[in-house]
Amino acid sequence: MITLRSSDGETFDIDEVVAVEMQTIKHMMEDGCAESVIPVLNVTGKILAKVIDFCKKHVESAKAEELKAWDANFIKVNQATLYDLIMAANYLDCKSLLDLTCQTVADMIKGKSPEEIRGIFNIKNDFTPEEEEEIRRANQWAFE
Amino acid sequence: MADSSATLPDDLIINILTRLPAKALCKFRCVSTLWLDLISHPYFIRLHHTRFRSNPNLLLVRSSPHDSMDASNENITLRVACSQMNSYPYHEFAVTIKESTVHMLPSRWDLVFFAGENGFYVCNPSIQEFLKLPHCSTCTSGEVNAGLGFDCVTKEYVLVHLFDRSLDTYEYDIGIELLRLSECRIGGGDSGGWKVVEGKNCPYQIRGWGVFVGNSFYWMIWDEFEQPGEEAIVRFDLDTEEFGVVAAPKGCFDTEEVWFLVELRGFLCLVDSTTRPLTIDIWMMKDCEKPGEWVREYTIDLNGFSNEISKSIVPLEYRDGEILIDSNQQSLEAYNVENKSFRRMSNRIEGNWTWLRLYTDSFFSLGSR
Repeated sequence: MITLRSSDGETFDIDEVVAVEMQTIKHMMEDGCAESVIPVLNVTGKILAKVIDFCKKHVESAKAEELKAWDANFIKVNQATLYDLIMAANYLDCKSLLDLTCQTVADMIKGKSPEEIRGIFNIKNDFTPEEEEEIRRANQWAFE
Repeated sequence: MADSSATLPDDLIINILTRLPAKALCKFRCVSTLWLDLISHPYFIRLHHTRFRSNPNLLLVRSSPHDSMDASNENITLRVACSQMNSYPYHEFAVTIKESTVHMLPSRWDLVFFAGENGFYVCNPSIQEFLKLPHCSTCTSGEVNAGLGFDCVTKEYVLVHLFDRSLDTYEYDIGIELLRLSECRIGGGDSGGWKVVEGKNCPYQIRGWGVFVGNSFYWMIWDEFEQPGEEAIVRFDLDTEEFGVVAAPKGCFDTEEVWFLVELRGFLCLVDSTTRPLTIDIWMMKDCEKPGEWVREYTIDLNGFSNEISKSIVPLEYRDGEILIDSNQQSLEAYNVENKSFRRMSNRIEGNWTWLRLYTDSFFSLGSR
């Protein structure tokens, strides 16, 4: 059993086989940190719980169809949680969760306009109006 | 994202954006200067290509006379619809070309090619780029005989054109010319066009499209005076620049001239739908050093399908234990070689399409974008 502690002090006991789904934790275990509690500094308890759920399910279940359906349900979360899950998957280095979350965002933004994209990702438009017009014109076909 | 001070780090943005088709990315170039830089970066484009190479998309093309009421019509409109598998068309566009008939070459990479009497055309459907290729040699017989290959090593497309230069109706004198295309470059070396292979003649008339395997092109021989037999396939080796012949599988005869060649798993394959009823045999030439030695690699049972279907089944590609098949442009099927079962891969295809192809979404541009 491995114990993880979230940034806000919540602890989670998990099997080793689940813990190694997160490469970051796996490396820490290999470095000899497994005896005591492993602090997961960048992830809150709420999100860590979800990541652990994901890893448990992916260790238990081998059937691709079943996993796909479970993943589709798992990822039905609000934008803030989705953002937190991406950052957590990246920090904990859990490739399958990172793939799922990034693909979900990609599917979500595919049909959006540049303005909506700026809103979602909190991006400042640093083109001059002329520059932006030029790029839009060169790629006009993509807006149709 | 909801937190106004939070932004995703660049590597995560790249992870997300490389999953988007080229069309969406062209739209997002104007989001910010950072996004413009990220999307244009060679690393980004390579990662994008790698992701999409493992997920083929579906391409449907319809060819129609521009004005069907006009008997002397000289224009054809090509309508191109691109969709991800199991999805409705993501985008469609149309181009009009000055031709009275047009053919689409078999392909499954990022570019697609068309051929008409007035020349060849190339298109990247992902970015809606469509260009006429440099002028090719005139074929006195008026036919279009060509072949297309993609060289994975040099990352070039190789287009080959066989053209009859004889002015005598009863004789033929078939020359061969090549055109190489890579990103933003048409034609190899200094010249911007086709290179005729000097002093070389194709010894037979051929039918069907040339298939590129192991740096050679192969065509089915068509000769109305000879019985099908030993000389069934003609080969042009790009290294030696020599023509040769390859024998067909033993004991099989192409009585209806419907056999065709296709490349699967990197090998030359011959698709035989006539030798055995309701069965498609796919023969594979596994050793280029031993041409004419064929293995009957796959047998597709069409029991339950009508005899008409066997003529319109076209294997497109082998992927993960399945052969992807175009069934008369009405559906894309995956034939599992172990279970010998079919699985429908696409939604029911609505509309009357002329050609069905697999293609890879990419930014491969020929310069006009």
